[in-house]
Amino acid sequence: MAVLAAACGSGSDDSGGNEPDGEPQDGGEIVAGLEAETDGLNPTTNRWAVAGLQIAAAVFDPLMAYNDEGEVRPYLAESMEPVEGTDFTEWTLKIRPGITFHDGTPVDAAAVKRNIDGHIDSILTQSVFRGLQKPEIVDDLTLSLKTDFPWASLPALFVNQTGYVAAPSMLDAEDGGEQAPVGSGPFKLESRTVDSQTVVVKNENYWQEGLPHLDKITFRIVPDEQQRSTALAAGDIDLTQTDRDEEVAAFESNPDIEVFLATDDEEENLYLNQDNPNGQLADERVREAVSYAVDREGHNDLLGSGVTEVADSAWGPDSKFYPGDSVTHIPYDPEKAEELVDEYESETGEQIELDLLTTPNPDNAASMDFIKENLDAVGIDSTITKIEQSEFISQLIGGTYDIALVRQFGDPDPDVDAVWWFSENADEAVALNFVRNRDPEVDRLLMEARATTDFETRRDLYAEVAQRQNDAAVYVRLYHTVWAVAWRNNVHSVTEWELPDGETGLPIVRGRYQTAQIWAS
Amino acid sequence: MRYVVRKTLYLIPVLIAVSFFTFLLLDLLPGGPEVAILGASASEENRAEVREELNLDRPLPVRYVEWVGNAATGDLGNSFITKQAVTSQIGERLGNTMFLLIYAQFLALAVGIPLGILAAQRPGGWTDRLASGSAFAFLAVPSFVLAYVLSYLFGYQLEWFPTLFKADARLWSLFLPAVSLAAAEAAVYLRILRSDMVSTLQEDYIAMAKAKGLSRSRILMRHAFRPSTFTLVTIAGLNMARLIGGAFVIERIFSINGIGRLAIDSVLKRDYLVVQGVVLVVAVGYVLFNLAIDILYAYLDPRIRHARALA
Repeated sequence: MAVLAAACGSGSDDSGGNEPDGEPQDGGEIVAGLEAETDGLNPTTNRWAVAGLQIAAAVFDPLMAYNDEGEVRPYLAESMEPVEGTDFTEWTLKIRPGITFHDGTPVDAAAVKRNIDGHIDSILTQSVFRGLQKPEIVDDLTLSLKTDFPWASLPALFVNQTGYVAAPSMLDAEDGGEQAPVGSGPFKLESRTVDSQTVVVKNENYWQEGLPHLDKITFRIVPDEQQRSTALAAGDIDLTQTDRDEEVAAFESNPDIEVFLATDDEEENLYLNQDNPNGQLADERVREAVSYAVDREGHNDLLGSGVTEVADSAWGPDSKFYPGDSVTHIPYDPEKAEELVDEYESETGEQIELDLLTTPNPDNAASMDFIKENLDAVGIDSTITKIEQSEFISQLIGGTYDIALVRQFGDPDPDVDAVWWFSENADEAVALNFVRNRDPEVDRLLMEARATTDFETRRDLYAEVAQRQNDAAVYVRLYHTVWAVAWRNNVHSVTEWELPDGETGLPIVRGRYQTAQIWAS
Repeated sequence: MRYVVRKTLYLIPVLIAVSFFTFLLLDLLPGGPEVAILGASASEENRAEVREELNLDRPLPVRYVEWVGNAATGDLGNSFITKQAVTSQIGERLGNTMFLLIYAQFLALAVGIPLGILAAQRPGGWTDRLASGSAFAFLAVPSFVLAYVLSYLFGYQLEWFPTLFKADARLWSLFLPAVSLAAAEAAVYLRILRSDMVSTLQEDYIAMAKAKGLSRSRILMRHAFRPSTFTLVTIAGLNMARLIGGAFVIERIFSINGIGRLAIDSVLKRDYLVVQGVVLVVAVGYVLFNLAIDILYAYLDPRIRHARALA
């Protein structure tokens, strides 16, 4: 489960398919398969999972982007620098000159301000920017940003959903332009039929010279995984992404298909909602019992198809923030779990009953079946509920679930993920601290890590955050997931691409690939 | 004609019942419509908005009459998720689903009828055993399994047909989905027609026709076929409902933009107004379709319309 762009990110591990493909050719069109539909394309009001992000990557440009080292670099922005002597509480954001949106209006300071203001006012995304004041316009192309506290990693928040810049005319439209996105991106919207397809065509006035190469991309919703694989093999789609390990194996065995695999991406977790409807997960013993009950190794052996590793923290072995053995997780110990269950039940006189929430995806269903068996074995009564992705996210936000299977975290910059961990985000109307874990010490560590650019200090602070979360059984961390992008070999430069200033870009960010530099032969 | 009018009049209470229960769907949801639509975590303000939009503070019968009135003029409200009009969402997709259903029904009849006749000619003969045997095999395979197998063989290996729906090549791209749906139906039609025809062929008037020296094909087609199709027509009519059920699955697999997929997506998204709209359209469509079958039935068997007209 990919949730909200604001948590996006990826490190990457090249497993092939990233070879230079020769001189790019202009023209042609491709069909890109997507696993699900997005409810809309307004970055300030719609919840984007991979489908939303992918279409957004064609229609909009982000202010910032990651290079292949996971460092933040300017994209639509020309630069974003801290003002000297302000200890990262003041920033100057300059926008590249001469860029226009698809409706002909300029991408200027006022337009970017309109977007940032929109996020600060948005019930959905406001907690991402809590502490950032509404920007001031310095001149046509310059904004001054001020924060309530030292915020050294602020630029990383302009890489994902909260960094995509939409035309003010779209944001001001009556319905927020949700189904009619207008950006400055390499492609502009031609047509959109919800739940079926979104067609984008070349933006002839694109600001990056010689781009995009393709004339047209049709984003086709193919919800059935099996059929998506067949369609890619048969050439009915040219390009798709998946986080299903079985599909990856099928793609890798086909000589007509190239695959790029990111192995240190998100993390599969069980979220234990501390404000759950029957109140049982507020008791740390119940959470610990669940944690002791889950056989994480067995789960990974069964579901990881041999490509994933059991997780102890939000950062995988390929991430520079990987804390190694210094962070430990509650081990698999069903006897200990049973003891805790007995203790809780005899003390309170109530039977532990928990619902396991997931989406109707075969892997997730198998995962939850496994967890349910683990819980049954220690005497925890559980049921499984499957609901569609956007409703699933609503339940996480609303806090109306007990235990949910969520794929999250793993952004190249951990500060982007901090929004899921701050205590105050547990009590918003739209609460992004989905597990409702309120720990002032975690807050303090996160603020300290946010205030510095010293890498080692930050890494140690985030390791401490992970350890505190593990000790309080906030999550059951299952494994580090993979995201794969697969394309037919007539498609080129999907994951090998350059940032506007010439550096190599991060190949994929949580399954999302760039679109401007793709070409077809 | 009077028979048709009478049948049509019978429909009115049926349609009222169907639409009323569809309307009730939303009211019967736990927590009421506003909670169902917005989720338990919605703010009081948003709930009030939904209550107002759906006029939830007014008595149920009043709302029902209004809703039916609006529905009759094509207004089924707007989706709370995509904000699009429910009618236009259904309208965009109904054509594809109808096309698929009729295509599947056509293929099922086109295969089932000739094979049924062939099998009935010599019960127990090799054509009968082959046709009946393969019918059982197709009946036993669920349509979604067949869909995957057909896509793999004819989409990927042989590259004869697309594996996904293409709006600009409907006939072509819906062939595999239609075959997936039609296979089991064709088997049913074959079995029914065969057994009805075997008993018709034992009637005295057939013996008489044979005695008159009429050719076998003339006896089969002119004398035995029509009276043997009553059950087939009834079953084919009832099967439209089954086909719609199958289409819900098949549309998802082949990524067909139809109302079956719309229904499933909307159920999973809890987009209840859309679900309600689809249920209404399917239910009304089903009732109207059965009216058409009744009328066809009367045409095929004059005894029906005359008997009822005399009664």
